[in-house]
Amino acid sequence: MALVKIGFAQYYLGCALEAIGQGPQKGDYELVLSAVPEYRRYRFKVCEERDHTYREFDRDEDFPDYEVRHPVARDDLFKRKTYLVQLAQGLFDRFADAIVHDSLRRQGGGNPLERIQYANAAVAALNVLMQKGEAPSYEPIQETCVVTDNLSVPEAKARRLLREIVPEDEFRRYEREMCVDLTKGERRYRIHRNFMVEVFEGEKKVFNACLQFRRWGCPPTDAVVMRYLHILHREKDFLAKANLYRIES
Amino acid sequence: MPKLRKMSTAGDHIVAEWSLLKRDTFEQARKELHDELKKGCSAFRIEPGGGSTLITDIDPEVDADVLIVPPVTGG
Repeated sequence: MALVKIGFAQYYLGCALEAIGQGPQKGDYELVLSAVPEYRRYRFKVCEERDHTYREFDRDEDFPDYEVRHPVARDDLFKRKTYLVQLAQGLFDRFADAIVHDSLRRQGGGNPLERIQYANAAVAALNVLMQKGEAPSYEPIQETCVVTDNLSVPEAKARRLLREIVPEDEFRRYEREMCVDLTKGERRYRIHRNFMVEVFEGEKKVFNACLQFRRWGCPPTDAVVMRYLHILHREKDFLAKANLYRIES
Repeated sequence: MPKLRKMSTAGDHIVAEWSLLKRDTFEQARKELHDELKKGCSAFRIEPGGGSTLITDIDPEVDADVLIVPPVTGG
């Protein structure tokens, strides 16, 4: 199945909306928007049905979190990338405002006025993205306007970095469970956001390993990236430097 | 555009962007990387299609970002 990336917009707060056109699959086209930093997914599904639905999925179920079904006659389903862009524009006109406000509400932080200002700017930027097919060249508001306790700007950037480094399914898992798995030879490493690295041989956990930055201050997900890269490329060095806590059986 | 990035307390910090660098300033970026490596940092090339590679030098011809990871210790 071909994935066509049709745009990427990046704003302050590490908040980005990424649009991917996918299809055709069983006569459908799909557009998936990933809202950083939560990477909450909004799926626009083009279908032949005559109903418009917008429903929220259970967080614990499979992604996406939201699905918008958009009825389109089969004759209109051109197998062209430009059609996806046109379609996305139409969908953004209807839903961008709601999506941005929803995403901001979930992130919290800032005061209501700042959130409204940001939401308006983000919607405008989204329109620029969809009309020109490229990210806007300006940042609407200073980064420091909206920072949450739980998801600061550095943490949001760290998650974006992690997404570049680990496979997509592992990143999805990280968003749900706050850990990623990495298999090296006979060992499997489970790298947690807020715990030591668990090391398994087969199904048996053999020890915990703790490696951290020499200086404090990097966001927790940066530590996950650091451990992942060290285990992947410098496994012996990782095991030599880390403090190992053997599990007594 | 490929960048030299450094993991920092303020998030993913961009040290240099190849497309904006002249020849001599590229050498400065390379020197900065080598200085960081001497301090105990590690450097990884982040491949655009996913994946990463451990490196000790940078090549502006390679279309991929380079990430500098600060020194680490047992915890």
